[in-house]
Amino acid sequence: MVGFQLINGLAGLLIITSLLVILSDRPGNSARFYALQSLVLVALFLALAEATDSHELYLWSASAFVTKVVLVPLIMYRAFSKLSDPKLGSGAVLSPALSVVLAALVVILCYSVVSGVSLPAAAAIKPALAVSLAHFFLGLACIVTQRNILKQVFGYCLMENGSHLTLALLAAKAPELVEVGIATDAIFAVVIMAVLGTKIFLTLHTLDARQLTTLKG
Amino acid sequence: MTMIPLVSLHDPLHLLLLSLAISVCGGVASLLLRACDGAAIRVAGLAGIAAAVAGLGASLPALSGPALVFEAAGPYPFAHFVLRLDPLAALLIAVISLLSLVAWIYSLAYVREYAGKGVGAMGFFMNLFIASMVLVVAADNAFWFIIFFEMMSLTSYFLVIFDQDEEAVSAGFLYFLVAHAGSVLIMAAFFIMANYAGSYDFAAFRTASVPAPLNSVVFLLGFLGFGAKAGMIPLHIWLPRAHPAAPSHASALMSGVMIKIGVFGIVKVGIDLLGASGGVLWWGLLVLVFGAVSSVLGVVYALVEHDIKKLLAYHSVENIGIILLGVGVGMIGIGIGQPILAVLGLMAGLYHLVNHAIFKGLLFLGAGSVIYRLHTKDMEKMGGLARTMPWTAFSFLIGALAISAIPPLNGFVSEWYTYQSLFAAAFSGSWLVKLATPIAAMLLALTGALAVMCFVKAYGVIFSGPSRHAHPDDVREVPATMVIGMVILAIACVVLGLAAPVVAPVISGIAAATLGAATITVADGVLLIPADAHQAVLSTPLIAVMLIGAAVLPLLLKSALSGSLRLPARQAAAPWAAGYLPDAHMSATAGGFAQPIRMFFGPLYEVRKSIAAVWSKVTFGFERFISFARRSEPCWDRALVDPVGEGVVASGRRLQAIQGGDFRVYCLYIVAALVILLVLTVR
Repeated sequence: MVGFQLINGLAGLLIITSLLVILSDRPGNSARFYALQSLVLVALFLALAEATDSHELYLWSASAFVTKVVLVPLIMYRAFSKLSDPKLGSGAVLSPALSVVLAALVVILCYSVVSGVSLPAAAAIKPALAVSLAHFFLGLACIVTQRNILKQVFGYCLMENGSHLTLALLAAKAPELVEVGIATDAIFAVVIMAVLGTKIFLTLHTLDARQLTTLKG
Repeated sequence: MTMIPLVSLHDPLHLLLLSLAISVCGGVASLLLRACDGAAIRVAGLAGIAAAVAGLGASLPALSGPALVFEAAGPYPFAHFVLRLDPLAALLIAVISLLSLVAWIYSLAYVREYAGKGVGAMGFFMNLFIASMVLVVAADNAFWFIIFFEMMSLTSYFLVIFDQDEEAVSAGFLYFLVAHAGSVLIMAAFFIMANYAGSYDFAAFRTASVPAPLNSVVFLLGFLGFGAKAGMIPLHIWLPRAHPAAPSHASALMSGVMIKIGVFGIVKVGIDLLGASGGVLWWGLLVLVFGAVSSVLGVVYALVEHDIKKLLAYHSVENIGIILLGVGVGMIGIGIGQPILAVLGLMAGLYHLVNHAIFKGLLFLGAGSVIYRLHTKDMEKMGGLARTMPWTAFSFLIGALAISAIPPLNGFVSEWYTYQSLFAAAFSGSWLVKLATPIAAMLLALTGALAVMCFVKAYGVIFSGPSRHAHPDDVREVPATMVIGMVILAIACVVLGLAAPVVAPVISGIAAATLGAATITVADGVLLIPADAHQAVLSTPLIAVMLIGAAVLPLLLKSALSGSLRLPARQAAAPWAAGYLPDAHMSATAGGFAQPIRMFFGPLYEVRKSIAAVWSKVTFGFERFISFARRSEPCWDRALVDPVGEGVVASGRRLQAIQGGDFRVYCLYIVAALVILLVLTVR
């Protein structure tokens, strides 16, 4: 049972790290916090592998470490450190305090949702499952509440992490191939989004998502 | 087996229907061809000419009676479609047809002036206007009479506003108002009669007996209603504005024919329809008084006009007055039970009706020709046109002589009969008649004198003297078809004057048939006799011979004495101007010519001002009513339609905000949808 408590505890840590990703005011910091979060995720995978005795998850955690802790943050750090929009500021629509409250509400909602689910495989890890769902929503919330397009990329990554965790929790014994697909998918998506963000900044000289409503052709 | 032909050209009724059908088809074709001006003018004109010829063919044989009746089932039980071609209707149709024939010939060139302004529509309205006039005259059922009367008013309204400038539209509005006020009165009169007749057929009206106070009410309603259409004072106010606004060939028809339908209506109601319950003396006196007042005031107002078409329009008021004098004597004759006097008076009125139609049509066409070349209606800017437009000038001169009642032209003949009927009435009846008729004769004399003065002014200022026009060298004679139109009417003026011994018996026959009385002797050989040869005798052919002789005899004498017909050469020199060099400003102007009259009849012009003030108040009140209606009319819109429309637009705008293009907002929708789904799952 200790293993599962560890899993749930690490899942709680995930929420905190994702709040840090969302609320940090510079893309570079966000990238660092994202690396930290991914590290927590890898730890979560390891704990889950230990708890469920799933060999596949070891491989998952290894590949996740390479892609999520090293490659993606590196790409984003490299790409985004050159871009800054002084006029935009942090680009947050909600104040940090309200964001925390929102995150709490999201978690409560997700928990109440998950508590209604009766799956034999997920009985012990319901808090973690709730967190994984909430994580997905936090990613969406990041996209909605941040005007900075770079933050939207992070929002996407958070969603991706959330869904990744859900998959791991519910299908710990899924083949490695699935994880490889997800990981590469994430890398390519991030690369493409980084390129697009750079292009947008070079064209419009702004990172404000509100200015993008006039993009045409 | 014999075939029954669909249209028999020997049957006046068939010809009449044929004429109407041609008019309607021509009008519609003209409207369809409106994209091509030249074709529209030609189609409308040729159809109009054909219809007019058919109309003449239908009406001339029917002049001597008996009445022909065409019946067809109407859409409602009370609305029998009955056309009755009695001698009076035939006379009116003959006049309409002759005038429209000439107007259509004239229009072939004249309407080109309006190219690009919708001549197709003009041809349509003109054709329908003429057809509706014919139908009004021939209709023998109150329902159809009102329908065609309205149609006539509407089509002519569209001709009045054809120019679509401010003056035309405002004149058209006034005309519309008066015409419809009149038709309401007429409708009321017919309703009362139908109540007693039990049918809307005029045939039933004729035999119905309307009791004493109501028959006068019916007559008054009809008199005022038709009087408004006829343009008698004080209901004339629309006439001097509407007639000048219309195109000239339409003015000729309106002034020449349409207002006669007002007189026709008065005769129809007062003599024909109320025949069984009529014969009230004061009706005739009322008509006489209105006639006398209209004739004097009409010519007095005409004298001070500078607008040539307004001048002619006021003369229409005057001549309607003269016609009403004759009709009034006719009705007095019925009232005092003297059929001979009645026939004589009505005959004088009808004769003047025909004559006025012809010379007023001629004068309006002449005015149209002048305006066609000079593009102004202001007589002060004309002058000297007899040199450049000889045919127009000559025709206008004939018309001017005729309307001024100069022998031996037609105007003189009918005015002579009017005088004679007034004189005859002055010897008979009650003291009221003996008092009224000489005064009327006196006023007629005054009218005649002023009319001469007015046309000396009109002809003189327009056609003689120096030219006051800005570009006198550009003015030339109008195209041939316009000249032909005018010359036909000028010839008609001469013929109706010289051939009076032939024409007068026909018209007195019509008057007698209308009155249901025995015919009277109005001509004997080349002599014209007002029923009684001891009263007076006149012979226009002899006067003509005398006048020609007076001009030719001196020449013959000269040739007999000196052996040569050559006259000494004329001196062509400038007129003497008290030693100064003569110039255009020295010649008599319309304003200067009329100034003494303006001073002499000052109070009468004040009368006009007060009449105009009353009418402007009526118009103003009506306009206020319209503006009130305009304000209250959108209430429903504001209460029902607008909120719905605005709601749709506003919600559309709100929905547009949903699709703002900001992808973050779209993500929010995804979140919201997911949250909702999750909440639903939890439940």
